[in-house]
Amino acid sequence: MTPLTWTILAMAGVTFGVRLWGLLLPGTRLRGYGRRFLDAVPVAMFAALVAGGLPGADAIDGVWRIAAAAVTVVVVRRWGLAPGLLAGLAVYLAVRALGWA
Amino acid sequence: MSASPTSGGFGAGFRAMVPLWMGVAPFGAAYAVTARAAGIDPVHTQLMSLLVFAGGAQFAAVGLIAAGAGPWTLISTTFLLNLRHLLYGVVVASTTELRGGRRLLAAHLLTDEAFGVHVAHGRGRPAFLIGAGLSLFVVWNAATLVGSLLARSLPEPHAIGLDIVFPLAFLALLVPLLHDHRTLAVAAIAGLGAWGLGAVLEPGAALLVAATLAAAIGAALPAAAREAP
Repeated sequence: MTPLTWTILAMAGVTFGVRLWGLLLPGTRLRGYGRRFLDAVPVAMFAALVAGGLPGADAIDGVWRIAAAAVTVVVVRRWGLAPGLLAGLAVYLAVRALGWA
Repeated sequence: MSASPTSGGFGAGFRAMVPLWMGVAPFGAAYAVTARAAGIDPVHTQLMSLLVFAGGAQFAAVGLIAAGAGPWTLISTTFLLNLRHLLYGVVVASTTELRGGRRLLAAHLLTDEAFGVHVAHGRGRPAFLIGAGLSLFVVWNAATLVGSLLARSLPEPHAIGLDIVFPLAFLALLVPLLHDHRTLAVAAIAGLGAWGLGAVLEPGAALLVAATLAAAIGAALPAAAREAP
């Protein structure tokens, strides 16, 4: 095996270990503050992923807002993830192609 | 035989991930193209997708290899970028019973996207989580293979606008969870924190710090704020 193969195996071990570590922690026994913290993690992580995944300042200022509004409208009306995502992407691509923002 | 709330759901989980394929596939291919440009052969490129299965860490590794970084830099960066998956595991374990082989499989398949879809649609169903994770795994690896084979003829995801898919997808997962002042405050703190910290920290570290701080602050908010409609 090459050094790169060993490095990839180590990277895989680290990634798997971190994920398994979380799955082994006794989250079900948490109460009070710990429970509320875990309940807040999905909201916090999704919001961080939205902000962290934005392509750049131009997108935040312009096309992104319009696409985000389209996604929000579709999801709030309970049409689901796929329609929301498709609507947002369609609006994003259309607005960008037309040069409106 | 009818399925209990905690059984079944593999197919539902697999299908729930399908909308994200259009975002994942171009990035899987782009990862392979970048790896080829960095001088990594197709076998090791695919091996990383099969065994590491963490897009951000794989892109970072390719960049580091291209820059001449050593193994320990790659391994420590992978650890830092994936540390947020620890939180995912804790949240999943608190709502979904995973044991033995299913737990090991879930540990390999627990990505940002699988966690998001599971929290939104599959809490309490281990098969749903595994189905969602496997759905992403198949597409990511197929896209890596295609990218390796067609390295010179594929466009960059941002050139065709598909780099926006991930933030839009996570927004679609986030919106239904915003139901009171506490969740709105947590989302605002996490979003602003990730945005601000992204300028000074590694992407994985920025997400982890921002989300942890936001959840910690949100959990400490007074009851009146938490219970407000």
